[in-house]
Amino acid sequence: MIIDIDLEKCTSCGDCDPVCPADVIHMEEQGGRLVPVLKHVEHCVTCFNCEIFCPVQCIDVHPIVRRRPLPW
Amino acid sequence: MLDRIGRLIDTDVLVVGAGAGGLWAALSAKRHLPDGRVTLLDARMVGRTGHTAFSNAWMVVVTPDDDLDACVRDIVEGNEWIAEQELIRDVLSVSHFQLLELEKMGLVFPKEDGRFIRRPTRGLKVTKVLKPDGGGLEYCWRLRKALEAEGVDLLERVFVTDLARDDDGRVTGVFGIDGRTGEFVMVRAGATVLATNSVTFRAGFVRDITGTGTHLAYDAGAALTNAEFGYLRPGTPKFYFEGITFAIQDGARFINAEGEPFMERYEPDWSDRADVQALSKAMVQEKKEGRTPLYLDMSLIPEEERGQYLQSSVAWMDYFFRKLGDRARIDMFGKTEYYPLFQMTKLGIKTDAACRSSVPGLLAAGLAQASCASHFAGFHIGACNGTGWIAGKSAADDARRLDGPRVSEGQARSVKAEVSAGWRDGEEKSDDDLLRALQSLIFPYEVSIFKHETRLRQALRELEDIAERGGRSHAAHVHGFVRLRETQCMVETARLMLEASLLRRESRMSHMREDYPDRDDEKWLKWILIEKGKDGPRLWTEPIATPLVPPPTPWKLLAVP
Repeated sequence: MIIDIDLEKCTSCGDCDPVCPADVIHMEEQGGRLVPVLKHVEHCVTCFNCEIFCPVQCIDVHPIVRRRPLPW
Repeated sequence: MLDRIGRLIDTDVLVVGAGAGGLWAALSAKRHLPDGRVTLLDARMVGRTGHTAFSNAWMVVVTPDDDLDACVRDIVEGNEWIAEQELIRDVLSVSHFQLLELEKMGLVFPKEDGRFIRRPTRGLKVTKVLKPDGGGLEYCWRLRKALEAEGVDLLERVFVTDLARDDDGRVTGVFGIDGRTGEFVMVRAGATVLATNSVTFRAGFVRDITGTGTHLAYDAGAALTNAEFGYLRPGTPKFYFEGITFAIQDGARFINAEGEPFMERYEPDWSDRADVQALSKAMVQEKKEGRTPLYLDMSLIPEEERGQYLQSSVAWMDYFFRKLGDRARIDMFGKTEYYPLFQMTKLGIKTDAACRSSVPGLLAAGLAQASCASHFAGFHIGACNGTGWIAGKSAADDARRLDGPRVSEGQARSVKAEVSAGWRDGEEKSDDDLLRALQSLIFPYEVSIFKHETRLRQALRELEDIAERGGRSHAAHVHGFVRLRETQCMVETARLMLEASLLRRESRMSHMREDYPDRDDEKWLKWILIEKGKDGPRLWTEPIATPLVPPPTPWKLLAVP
């Protein structure tokens, strides 16, 4: 699951928003500039897309998925 | 006047869904209707976000040197005859052409001595698979760039809620909303191809991505099939690993709690290389006999083969493998716990061999189309490629042949009113409770993997409560509305799955009935078809056509008199 976005490194390019298949990252204005905001983070599918396509490596996704439904 | 109701887009061919099936359908439609308008619509970003994008993009390809008839037989027999034989043949026939087209787009398929490097895949005897460098992300991106170069319009972040229909029942486009702003969107189209993936119950990771197109078709009167079948596979409780097929080829084995490699007992010929549903069935049996937890032992993979697993050319896998060790301190070359996972339904839209549904103006491609009940490891993308190409050509023909599409203002206003009432800003509700209830009902192996009439009927009764709750639910925002619509689609899919599972009184592939444990070719070489009736789903059976691969000889005819 996505766990951290380093807003000091973020350049506000917005590339992370459309590549999220789960609609978890929304670019919103904060402090006079657009920044990525995590919304509905519990719906993150751990696909790493935001981290892969961030040009300044300011996003961190953890590989472990929680609350996986089990068959037994 | 329609443009006063919302954003109106006109097109000759509309393709909904930008996975492998949709990308190829849009390209094919444009190639077959070069002067026409072709629009590819997706709920997210074309080329970056569908189920295909997160796959390895292993795909079945039949080259001119291969025996096409043998490959068709391979797929049909592997499907235990639940397959549209002519469509399978046509899909395989076009696969080599598509491979060469992908190469022209700049996609690299590794070669040795000038020949494509191909591998066998589980469950198939002669058919081979191959994958591109960069996997599904690169595959989807190259196709997107090709579509842009050839003049296909892309319509992104639009979630389709309904199909538009004229007075004669023909599908004439779609209604939907902008997935971020909620703006009402209408697309008027001469022909519409649904390529919206299978329905999942959000089993985790990319398996959370689900499609609703089959139910749009169902609501519009189209026949569906294969509801009783699912894609069962071994899964891990905590993380995702794509590639057990080739890990097993390189030496990995499933073992039980006693350390025994158990697959040889169940599948003497295939052992761990058996198809995923056979693996899943064996895992359930091990559970019933008290030999869990179960593991995949990757320590058996030779040191010299491990590099390919640690340094994948597929971007997300590279990140994932690296972090699994660094951050989660999980050694993937040790013993990792596994369990059988119901990944997705095989419910799809029933079509003819040209990918036309039973409703005029509506076609289907990809996993929303029901060409067969098992896609093995590489036939998921393989079938999507081929049905996409075929559906795109048929849609181009239909758009040219049919009259201009009519969308009624009355239907547009009615859909808009219903959709607009679907969320109320600030209302703190979520679909997640509904989803959890549905998952708790469906995921237990006694319901979705190892079935019995008593348990199926009980599940249907419990589903009624969930469906009733789902019907009353509202969302707090557009995101929640989309999720809720997807969950309501899952609830309806669960009902079709349970009803069809009750009707098929035999065991075949992923459909395993404890009370009917044997395959019954005499009675059940049939499709179970489903249409929406006045009071619920209407189910009936039809014989499966076998024009290319004859049905298996009944054992009675083989017996010595």
